[in-house]
Amino acid sequence: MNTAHSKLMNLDAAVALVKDGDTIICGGSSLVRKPMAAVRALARSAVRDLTVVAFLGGPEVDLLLAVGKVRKVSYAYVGFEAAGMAPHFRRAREARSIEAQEWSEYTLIAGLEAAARRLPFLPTRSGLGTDLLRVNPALVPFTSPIGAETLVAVPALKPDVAFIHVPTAHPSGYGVVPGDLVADDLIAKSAACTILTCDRLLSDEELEQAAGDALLQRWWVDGVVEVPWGAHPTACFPCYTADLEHLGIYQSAARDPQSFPQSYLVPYVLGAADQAAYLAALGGAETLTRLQPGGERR
Amino acid sequence: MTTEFALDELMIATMARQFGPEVRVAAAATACSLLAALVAQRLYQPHLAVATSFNVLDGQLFPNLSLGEFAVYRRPQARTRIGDLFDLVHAGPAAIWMNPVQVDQAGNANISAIGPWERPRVALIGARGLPDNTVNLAGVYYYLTDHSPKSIVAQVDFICGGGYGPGRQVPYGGPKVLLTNLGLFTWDPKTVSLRAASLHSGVTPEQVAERSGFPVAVAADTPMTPPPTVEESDLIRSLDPLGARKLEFLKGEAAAAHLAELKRREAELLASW
Repeated sequence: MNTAHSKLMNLDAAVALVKDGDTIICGGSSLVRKPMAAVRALARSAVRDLTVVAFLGGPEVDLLLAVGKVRKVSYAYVGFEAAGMAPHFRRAREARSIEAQEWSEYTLIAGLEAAARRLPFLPTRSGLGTDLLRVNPALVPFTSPIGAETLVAVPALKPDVAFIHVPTAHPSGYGVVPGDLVADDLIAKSAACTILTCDRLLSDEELEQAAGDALLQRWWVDGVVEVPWGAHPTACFPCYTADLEHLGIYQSAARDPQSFPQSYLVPYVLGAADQAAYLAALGGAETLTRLQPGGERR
Repeated sequence: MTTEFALDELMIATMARQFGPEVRVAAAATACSLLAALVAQRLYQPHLAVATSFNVLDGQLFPNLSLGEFAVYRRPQARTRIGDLFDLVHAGPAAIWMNPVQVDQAGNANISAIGPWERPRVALIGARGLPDNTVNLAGVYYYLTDHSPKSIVAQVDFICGGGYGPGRQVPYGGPKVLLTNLGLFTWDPKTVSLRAASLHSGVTPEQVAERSGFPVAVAADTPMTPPPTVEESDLIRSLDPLGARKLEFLKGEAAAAHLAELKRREAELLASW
């Protein structure tokens, strides 16, 4: 019997841990396991002036930009993969309405690793011979003290709060990821505070059975929130695929920035007080079986 | 042209033939790059392992748009963590075929912004792994399905992936080849120039000149790109049962129609699992 104390909390309490001006980071990649329910709650909160760090950013970055919560984005990628570009990211970059700081995939990972190890920087060759070094002053070339090669110092990137969505989690903070963990373990280690959201909570017995996939360790986790379909419209293997149809609705609505608040934000985010209201706005969770293997047979 | 084959088959077969024995893992970023890696593994470099963007190595992989981890985790042969992939990047014996928005005379590649990065006329997706690949990988290969002066430019607007210009300090990771719908091209690091290694059947040096934003050397004795063999074409079709590769060669309404068809087929497949 696991006697570890419970870190269960509700979504609004979890989101209230984010303060004005904080740096946040989300788990997953592109259209995979983005903590979208937490991001919608954040969008409804009063918080402002966020810095968003995105390894492979997608709808979570775009939605926070759409509601004007973001002052700065540090990213290696922001897009919707097969579903196209991130419309508000593109608009914000072209209108220069946010501070943009571009990284590569590895330099962003190295920054998180430096933070997790309490180091000021980690060395790499990434960035040499590219324009990243010209536009991102955080990446600093230096002469290696061993040998004389030029290397790049990647500064520690320390998020204040990380949100990670997993299919299942134990109330003690173990997160179970049977698919791609992406950089979620590193994100949890680097952030000052880590919140796990999950589609379903596990009992002690279920955790024992899933231990091989319990890749997120509870000592890095500060809060656990159960929120069914919490990654929708992104994927959460093995529960559901990304909802390209809903992302299409989002992108169509985003074409007109004037009507976007009424056509998308009110029905799905600002006017849907919680995840139950969001699912109702989608037509009910039963309409989402098309995103699950076996579909209607389930 | 003696046998019937589609451009996608010619390009994927040509891509598959570029992997040398030094490449142990092929990373698949697109439908065409996945198919090239799978064809190479089946026909030319049996030792080659194939990595998808979902941190799975090998298994029953096939290109798709929306099935994500459901497709790759059905029958995986190994599971990796992101650190494993970056270890591979840093150690070097990996290759990737990717399709940038702009490629230039020096071999620089751009997927970040059109126009000045600080005031982009068109903001793209961000540098992603290009700065990492181009100082590390044994095989940095670029491909473009539409060879045009908009994509083959004298100088990229933003260097995401480093070529052979004055900024190159690292001996690893320089781009090896550029494959387009017109031919296969290679860079000469010494003269920092691009030359045709082969032109596809029916393509003339004039067409290359017209469609390129800078002078590309095409020698009089430039060979024709060998067409795909029957074996290669059959394999490509069987490895891509949904036809996801075709999307990379279509535009406008044809692309939209194929996309809708692809989504319908993928939904059917998911429902059958």
